[in-house]
Amino acid sequence: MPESMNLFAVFFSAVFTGNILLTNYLGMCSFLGASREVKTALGLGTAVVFVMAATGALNWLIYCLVLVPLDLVYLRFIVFIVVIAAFVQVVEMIIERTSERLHAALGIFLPLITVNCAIMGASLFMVIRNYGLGEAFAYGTGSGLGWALAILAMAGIRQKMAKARVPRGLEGAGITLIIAGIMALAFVGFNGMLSAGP
Amino acid sequence: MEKGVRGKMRERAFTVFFMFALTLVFVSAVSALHLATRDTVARKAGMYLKRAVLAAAGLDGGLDDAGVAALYDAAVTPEPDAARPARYAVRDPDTGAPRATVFPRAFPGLWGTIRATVGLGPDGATLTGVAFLEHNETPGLGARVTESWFEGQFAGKRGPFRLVPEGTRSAAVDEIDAVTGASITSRAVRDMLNALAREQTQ
Amino acid sequence: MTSGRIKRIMLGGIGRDNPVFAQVLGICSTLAVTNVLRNTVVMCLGLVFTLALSNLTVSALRRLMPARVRMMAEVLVIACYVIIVDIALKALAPDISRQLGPYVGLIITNCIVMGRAEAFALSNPPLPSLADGVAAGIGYSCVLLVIAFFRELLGSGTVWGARVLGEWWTNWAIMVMAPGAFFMLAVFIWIVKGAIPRAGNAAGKESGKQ
Repeated sequence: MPESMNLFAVFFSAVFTGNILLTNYLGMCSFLGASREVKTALGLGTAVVFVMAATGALNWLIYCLVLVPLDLVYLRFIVFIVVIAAFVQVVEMIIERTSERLHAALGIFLPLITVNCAIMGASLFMVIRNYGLGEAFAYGTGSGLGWALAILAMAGIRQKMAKARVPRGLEGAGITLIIAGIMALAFVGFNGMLSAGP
Repeated sequence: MEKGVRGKMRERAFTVFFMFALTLVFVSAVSALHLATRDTVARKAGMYLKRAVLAAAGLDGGLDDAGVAALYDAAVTPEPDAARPARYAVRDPDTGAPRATVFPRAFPGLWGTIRATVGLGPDGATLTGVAFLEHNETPGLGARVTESWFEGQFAGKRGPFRLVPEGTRSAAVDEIDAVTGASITSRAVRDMLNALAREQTQ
Repeated sequence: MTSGRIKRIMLGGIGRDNPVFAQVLGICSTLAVTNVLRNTVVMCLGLVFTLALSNLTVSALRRLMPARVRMMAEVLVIACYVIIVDIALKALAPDISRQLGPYVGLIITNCIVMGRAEAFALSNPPLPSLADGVAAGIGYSCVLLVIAFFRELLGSGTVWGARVLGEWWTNWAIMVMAPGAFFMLAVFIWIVKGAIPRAGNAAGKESGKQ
């Protein structure tokens, strides 16, 4: 398989078949909390795509160039999460100082992102799958997009559902989880697209 | 005003110092623990490899660690050398006759690399067994490749292989029961076996 | 008085203030392993350990911790405890460690750990914080164990790896796959909210605020 084809496969499977939210349940908390409105979901989704793509590549570089040569692989959890937290903080500072509008739109979401499991998860999975730098970047971007896609779809559905009558016990989290389950079912259907035939 | 600036400086210095000290304390604690358990972890990992090589040669019989180590030493020769083995020649521990050649294989599964050992009989085509050493497949789905019915179904079979649904318990020589809900993992195993067979016949 | 307070905290975390029902927090990293009961138990133990000790540590450091790096410091503390869990698993139970793979590391980003540190440990002394951590962890674990029990039973016909439903049982493959966890959790929340109307109302208000 040519290199570019492989990158595309990694990207595609990260967005659809291996959607980090719907198959690995990563990033559920903010998914449930922030999917009430399309606008919020879009803001958070954008922030996640950006942070995930950047930290994916950054963590790959640190892992392969620092941790592996120094035999410090067992410290990877700390290093990854600190890189993510630091990156988010730096981005927040830059946005705050440069663009008022961007800060108003994304500012409140950035602190939430540090504890978004999906971002840490993407870094961990990428290391486990032995991706190269290009693939790591494709995987980070793809996972971020997949996450954003899932939360946007959910927000759209929830907005439509706002006036629907839901059984009392299922209001809020319950019905959201059921919708997520149905969405996950749909995404399972993408499985056949990548690997041809049985 | 003056004092405010100095206070701010001190606050900043303290912040840096605090993070530094916290990192130092925790990282050294973790490192100490890592060093203390490193040998145990390495020994257990080595044990897994030995068990997997023996299992792939069809020599696994519920032995304890010492038994496995003794049997391994008696029956297995890493080739071309012990430092970087490309395959393991396994002799029958009683008769000394060649029993199997075990190949360590690494191939991509659904989530990550799967490492397995595959044993081929003296004819170079009939499987003597397969054992899965390391994988990151979904628990409860792809991870079930390590269950005994799956690992145990390969002995005596020869490729090229086809997959049949789980529970068929196929006796056909070229059929493998797949794991339900883990078609990608099952296909990866099948493809790995077929690729090995092709390599050996060339 | 202190012991009474600790008891209250413990009961609250398991029952009425249960993090899963009250806030639907932290289901991310652990839900994925709830298709096999044994893995769930190990993950839950790891989580309780991390939650309790990180709460204790954060609480002990709360007066020293500069506000600016609060999040970073908390994350660092949590990450260290998770690494300890990971190393311990590798050394003591390599089988399970291999099954869980990267999910152990994801305890770090479990929102409950961070959430309890922020909401409770930062403003309370160490002992109640420890109790709060243990309670929230156990309350959370109970929910996951129930889910894992049913997912494994319906999805594989087994409990703890031992076959309990006979050959006549057709496995619901969907239960071991991702969507099963969503449905199971939703149904569980539904049942609990229906059974405890008071907790249901409180939870409804909580989610309304977000």
